[in-house]
Amino acid sequence: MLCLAVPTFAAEKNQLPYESYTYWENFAGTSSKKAINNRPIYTVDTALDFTAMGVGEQLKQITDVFCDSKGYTYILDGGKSQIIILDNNYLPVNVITGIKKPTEASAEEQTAEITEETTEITNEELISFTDSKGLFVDENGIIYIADTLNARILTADSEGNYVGEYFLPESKLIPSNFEYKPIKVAKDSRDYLYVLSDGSYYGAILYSPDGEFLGFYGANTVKNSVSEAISGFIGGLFLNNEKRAQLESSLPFQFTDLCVDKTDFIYTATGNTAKKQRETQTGQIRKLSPGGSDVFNSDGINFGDSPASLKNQDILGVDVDDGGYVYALDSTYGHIFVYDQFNNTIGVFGCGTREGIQDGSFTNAVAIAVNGEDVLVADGTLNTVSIFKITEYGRKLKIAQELVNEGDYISAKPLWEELFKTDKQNQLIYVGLAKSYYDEGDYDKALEYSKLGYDRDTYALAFGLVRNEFLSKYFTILVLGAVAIIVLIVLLFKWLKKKNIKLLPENVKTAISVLRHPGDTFADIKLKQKGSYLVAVGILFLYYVTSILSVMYGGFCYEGYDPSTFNALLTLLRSVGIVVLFTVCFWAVSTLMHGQGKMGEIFITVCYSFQPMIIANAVYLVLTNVMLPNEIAFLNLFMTVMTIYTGLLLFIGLMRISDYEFGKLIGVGLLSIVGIVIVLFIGIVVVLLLQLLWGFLLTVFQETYKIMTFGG
Amino acid sequence: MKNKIRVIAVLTVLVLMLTFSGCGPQKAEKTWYDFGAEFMCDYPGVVAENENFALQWNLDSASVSIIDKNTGKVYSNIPENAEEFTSHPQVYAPIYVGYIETDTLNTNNANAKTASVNNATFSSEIIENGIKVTYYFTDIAVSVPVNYILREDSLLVTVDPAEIGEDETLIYNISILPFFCSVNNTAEKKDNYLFVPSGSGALVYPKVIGSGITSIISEQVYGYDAQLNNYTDAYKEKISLPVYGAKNGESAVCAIIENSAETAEITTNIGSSSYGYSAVYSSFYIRGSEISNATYLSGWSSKKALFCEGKVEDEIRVGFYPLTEGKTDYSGMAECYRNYLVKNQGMIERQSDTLLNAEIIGGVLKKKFILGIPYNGLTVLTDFEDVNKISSELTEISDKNINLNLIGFGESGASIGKPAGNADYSSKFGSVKKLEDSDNLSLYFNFDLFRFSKSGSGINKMFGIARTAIGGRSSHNYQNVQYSEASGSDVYRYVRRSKLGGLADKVNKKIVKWNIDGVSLDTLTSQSYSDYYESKYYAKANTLTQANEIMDKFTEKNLKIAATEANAYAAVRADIIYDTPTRSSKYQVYDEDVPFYSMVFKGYIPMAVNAVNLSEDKDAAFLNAVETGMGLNYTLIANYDKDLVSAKDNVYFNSLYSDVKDNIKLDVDRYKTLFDRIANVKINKHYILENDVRATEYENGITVYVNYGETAAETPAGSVKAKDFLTVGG
Repeated sequence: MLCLAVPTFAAEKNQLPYESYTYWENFAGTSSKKAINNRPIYTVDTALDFTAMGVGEQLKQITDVFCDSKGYTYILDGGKSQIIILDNNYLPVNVITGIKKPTEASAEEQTAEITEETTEITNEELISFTDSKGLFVDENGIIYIADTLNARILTADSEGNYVGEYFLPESKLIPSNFEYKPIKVAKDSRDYLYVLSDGSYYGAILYSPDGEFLGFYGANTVKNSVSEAISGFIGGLFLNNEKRAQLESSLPFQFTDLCVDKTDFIYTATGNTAKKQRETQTGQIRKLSPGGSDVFNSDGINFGDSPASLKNQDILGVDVDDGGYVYALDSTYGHIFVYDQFNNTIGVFGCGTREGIQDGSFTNAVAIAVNGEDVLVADGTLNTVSIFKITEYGRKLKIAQELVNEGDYISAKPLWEELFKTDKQNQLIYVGLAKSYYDEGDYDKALEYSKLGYDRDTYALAFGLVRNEFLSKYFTILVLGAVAIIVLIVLLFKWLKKKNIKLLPENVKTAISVLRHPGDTFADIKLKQKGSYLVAVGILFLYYVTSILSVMYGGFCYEGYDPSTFNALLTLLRSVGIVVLFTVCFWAVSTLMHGQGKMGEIFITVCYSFQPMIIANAVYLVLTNVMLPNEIAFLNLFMTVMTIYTGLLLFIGLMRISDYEFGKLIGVGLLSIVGIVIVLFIGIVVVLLLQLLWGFLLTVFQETYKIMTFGG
Repeated sequence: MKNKIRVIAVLTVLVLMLTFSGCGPQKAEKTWYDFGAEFMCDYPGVVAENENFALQWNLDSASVSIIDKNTGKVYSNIPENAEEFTSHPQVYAPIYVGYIETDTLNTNNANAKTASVNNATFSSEIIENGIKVTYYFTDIAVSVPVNYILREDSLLVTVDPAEIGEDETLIYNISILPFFCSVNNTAEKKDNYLFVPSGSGALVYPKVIGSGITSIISEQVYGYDAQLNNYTDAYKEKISLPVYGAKNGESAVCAIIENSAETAEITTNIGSSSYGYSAVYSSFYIRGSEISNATYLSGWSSKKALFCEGKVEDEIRVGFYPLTEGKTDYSGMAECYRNYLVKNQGMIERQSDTLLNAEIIGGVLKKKFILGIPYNGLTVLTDFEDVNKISSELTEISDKNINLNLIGFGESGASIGKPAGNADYSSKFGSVKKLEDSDNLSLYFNFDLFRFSKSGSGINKMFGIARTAIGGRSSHNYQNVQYSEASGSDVYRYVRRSKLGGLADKVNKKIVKWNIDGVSLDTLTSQSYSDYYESKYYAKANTLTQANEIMDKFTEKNLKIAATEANAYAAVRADIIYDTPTRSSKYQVYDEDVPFYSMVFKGYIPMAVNAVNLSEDKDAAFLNAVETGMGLNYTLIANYDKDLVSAKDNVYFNSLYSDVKDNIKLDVDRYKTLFDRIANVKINKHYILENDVRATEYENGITVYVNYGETAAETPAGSVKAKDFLTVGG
C-alpha cells in the first residue's frame, strides 16, 4: 500500500480538466470500494452554446436533452419554450419555438383544457411550453414534451406541428390531492408511455398505447432500519395525536429521470437517497422489468461515489446505450458514471461541483443523453450541452467487458492484454484477464491476476482446481507423510516417557490444563500458587501474534485487512491493553467488594483464559489458506465457540480466584467495565490536554524564535 | 530558592508572550495626502515623444495614450469609439483598486473613473519621458501614484507600492490600464481577439455572453500560491508567461509584466454586454491573503479572505508594446515577448534540441510492515542498472543523445518525504559509483526543493516551514481522487523560503560530487509560493530573484538545469524544459488554444512535451510535439508494483518501460526526419486553419501542417491524413 495519496509531480500530467477514475470493489481485501485514477474512457470534445446550436440569442434555461435513434439531438430550452434540433454532426437543423396547432381545433375542442398563453398565427395558434422539464422523441419522430406548468404531455412532429396531448386521467387509483407536474417522459417500443410527475412518490404514470391510464409503475420503496422502527414505535406510544401527526412520515424518494433500453426495460434515477447527511446512498439506479420489479436489486448497492467522500450526491439523470451500458449523472459534483449490466463501474468522468466553467465541467448539470458512442450533458445554468467522445481505450474496454458479461472470456483475452499494456489501474482488466486465464486452464496466472484484481470468486475457483490437482498428484506422499509424522510423534513421546524427560515445564502444563480442568486448575493457581507470570505473558504474546498473523496472512478468499489503515500497535492496545486495564479495574473493584484475588492472580487468570483464542486464530490461519469459503462453513461456528469458551474460562477463573459467587461476579464484572470506561475517559482527557499544552509551548517557542530572528 | 527561580522563569515567559503576542507581520507605514491641497492637472497635450511614438496626456480621462508617429494609430486604455458602445465607468478607468472594508473586512472594488476622475481628484506631474498621475480615491482615503513613461518601443506603466497612500482603508490589489488590451464584442472574429497566456496560450474571440457563463476569469501568474490549499476538482493550467495582448484588426498590443509578475494575476473580462468590450489586463496583489474557513455551531460555514497587513515591496512594471504591421497577431506577440526575453532576461540560443527525452521514476515510499507495525520504506521501481539499460536502448532507437530526468532517486523516492529527498542518492538504487561513472549519459537528477513532510537536510518541521498570511504554518492535505476535498491526515509542508538557498547548496555539493550533467528542479521552476516569515516574500514576491539566485549556484558549477512546465524566469535559464504546456485551462469561453509558449522558446530553449505515453490521446500528444518542433517525452519505470494502483499520482498506469518501448520506437521513426530539419530553428508564424488543422512556419522556410482531426484535411500544401502531418518547403 502506497502511503502516497500524494501529488509528487510538480507538473500535472493530466491533460483533461477533470479526473478520470474508476472504482475497485473489495479493494485491498476490504469489502468497500475505492476510487482509483485510470486512463480516461471519455474526453470532452466541445461544449455547444447557443451560437453552435444556430440560435440567434442566448438560451434561457436548458432543462433536458434527448438523442433519437437516428442520432439527432433535441435540446429543450424550457426557459424559452423552444426545442433545438441538431443533426448527427451536431449541426443545427431546426428550432421549434412553439407547437403549431390549427385554430379550429383549438376553438372547438381544447378551449377548456388549454390554459397557457397562446399566440395566434393566421389560421393556427402557437402553443407555448415554457418551463417544461422533459423531452422524448419516438421512432416516428414524434416529440413528447413534459409540459410541467400546464400539467400535460404535449406531442408534436419534428416541424413543431401539433399531434396531441396527454392529461392527468381520472382514476380511483390517483389520489384526490395528486398534483400532476410532468417532468420526464419516455416511451417503450410497444408504445407504452411513462411519465414522471414532480413530487410524486408513486412511481411513473403509465399510459397504454391508446392513451389510457394503466396505473403507477415501479415506485421506490421505503425500508426502515430496526432502530428506526423501534424509535417510531416508542414515539407512537408516548406522543399525543397532534405531535404524532407532526412526525415526518417515511415516504419513498421520487424518481428524477427515466429511460428505456432496446428491450423495453425501464431505468430510473433517484436523486439523493440518503435519509440523513453523510449516509451512504444506495439504490439510486434501478432497472425495472415490464412488471415493475428491480432487476438490478439495487437496494444496498451504492451507485455514484463512495460514501466516505460525498455528502450531497444527487443522481439527476440516467440513460442507457445499445450495449446496455448505463450512464448516470450526478448533478452536484458533475460526475458521470458508466456501469455495465452487472453494476461494474466502467469509469467516471466530468467535474464541476456547481462551479464548472471549463470544458467537461458543469455549473448545473441537468440532463444526460447518449448518442451512439457520445455522451451529452446539458447544463441548465451555462445553457450549454457538453459532448464527450469515447477514447480508443474506453471503446476497447467496453467491448471486452461486454464479452466478459456474455461469458466469452477467451475472445476478450487479446483485448484485455492490449488494455493491460496501457492501463495497470483498472480492476476490470485484472478480473477479465483472470477469467480468461481460468477459462484457458492457466490456473496459476488466473490466481495471480485474480489476486491483483481482488476477484475472490475467480481466485476461489482457480485455487480449488490447483489444490485438487496438487492433492491428486501428491495424495499418496501426503498420506504417507502424515502417517510417518504421527508415528514419529508417538515414538517420540514413548521415548521421552521411557527416559523420563519432560517436554514441557510444569507451569506450562498447568496453563494448558486450564483448557480441560479450568475449575481445578484455577483453584491450584489460587491455593498452590501454580500460576506463572512468564507463561501468562507468553500466552498474551502468542494471542497478539496469532491475531496479527490471522489478519495479515489469512486466506485471500476471506476478508482481509486494509493496509492503508492497519497498524498492529492498535491490535496490541486492543489485546494487551485491554487485558492490563481489565486486570487493574477488576482488582480495584474486587478489593472493595471483598474479593480474594490478588492483582497478579487476576492477570494470570485472564491471560490463561485466552488460550482458546490462540487455538482459534491458528486454526483460522491454517484453514483459510488451504480451504475455500464454501468448504469450511463451520469456521465461523468454531470461532464463536472458542470465543464463548474463552469467556467461560475467564468467568470460572475469576470466580475461583476471587472466591465470588455467580451473582456477585456478574456485579463486580459490570463495575469493572464501568471502571474501564472511566479510566479510558480520563486517559483521553489527559492526552488532549497534553496535546494542547504541547501546541501552546510550541507556538510560544516559534514566536519567540521568529521575533528574535526577524524582529517584531 | 529554586522555586523562586522557577516562578521568575514562568513569569518572564508570560511577559514575553504578552509583549510579543501583538506582533504580527510587519506593519505598513501609513502615509496620507493633504486633502486640502490643490490638484495639479495642467499638462495638456503631448508630454513625451521619441522617433516612433508620442505620449499624449488626456486631461478628461486622466489617462494617457500613445500615438504611433508612422501610422497615426492611437493606443489607449479607452477603446477607440468607446462612447458609441458604452458609458460604463470601468471601461474608462485607468486603474481599479481592490480594498478591504474597514468595518466588515470584506473586499470591495473601486475604479479611478468613478472615484477619482469624475471628481477631478487626481494630480499630475511631468517626469522624465512621461508623466506621473496620482489618483485620489477620496471615498476610501487612498491615493495611488502611477507613472506613465514612453520608451522607444513601448509605454511603461509603473506603480511603487511604497508610494501608495492609505489611511484607515487598506488596498490589496491594483489593476493597470484594464481596457488597453481590449476588443469590441461585436467585432469580427479571427481579425479581433484577446490573447491569454493560460497554459500554452489561448485566444478569445469577441462575443456577447448571457448571464449564465462566468465572463470574468482571473488566473494568477506562475500559478496559485502553492503553500495555500487550493482544492479544486478541475485541473487548470497555470500562467507561466507574464504576457497578454489584443489584436484589433490591423493593430495589436502586447503587454508584458516586466516586474512583480509573481504577485500578478491576469484577468479576462469576456463578452459583457454592459461593457461592450472584452478585455485582458493584469492586477497586482499589494497584500497577501489567506482564505479562512469559519464553521459555526449550527454547522453553517463561511469563507473569508484574511489579509496580511504588510505590503509587497516590489515595484509594479507593465510594458505595453504596439506591434508593427505584419506582426499584429499572436505570432507577433510571441516574437515581441521573445525579443524582450533576449534583451532583458538574457535568453540565449542553446542549440541543443533533443528528439527523445524521458523522465525515469526511481522509487516511491511505500507502507510496509514488521509484525504488523507499519513504517514507510522505499520501494525501488527503477534501479540504476535499469536506467543504463533503458538509456542504451533509447539511444539506439533515436540514434542520437537522449536526455534522462531522474525523478525519485533520493531517499524519499518520488514521494514527498525529507526535503529534496535528504539531498542525496539512495543506495537502494545501486552503488553511487555507478551514478558517478555515468559520463556517457545526459542525466538530470531531480530535487524537489519546496515540499517536505519529514525533517532532514537541515530543514526541520519546527522552524523550517513557510508561514501563511495569518501566521499559521503552511500545511497541505492530499486531495481525494473524486473531488475537491482533503483526504487523509498526512500532510506535507513548504520549506521556509529563506532556507531554500542552504538546501540548494547541499544539493549542489552532491551533484558536483556525482559528476553528472545537471540538476532537475521541478518545483523551483514551476511553482511559486509566499512565506510570511519575511516581508520580502509576501504574496509570492521575489520568486524570480530567489529562483535566479538558486539557479546561479548550479550554473556557476557548470551544471545544466532541467525545468518542468517552467515559469518564464526559469525557462530562460533552462537547458531543457520538460512537460511544456500544450493546452490552456480550457475555459468554455476560450475559443482556441495556441502554442504561444513553445513559439516563444523554440530555437532558444530545448523543450519536450508532456509524457506521450500518459496522454489520454497519444496521437494528439505526438502531434503537439510535431506542431512546434518539440522533443518527445515519456515517463518510465522498469518495474511495476501492485501498490502503485492506489498512488495519487496518475503516472504509473502506463509507464512500464516494457509496455511502451515499441510505441517509443514507432513515434521516433515517424518524427525523426522532420525533427532533424527543424531542430534549433525558430518559429516565424503559426496559423489556425479550418477543421483542426494547424500550420507552423519556421525561419528556415519549412512549413508543417498538422491535422488533429478524425478525417483527412485539405491544406494549401495538399491533403493531410487524419491525425497526421505534412511538411513542405525548406
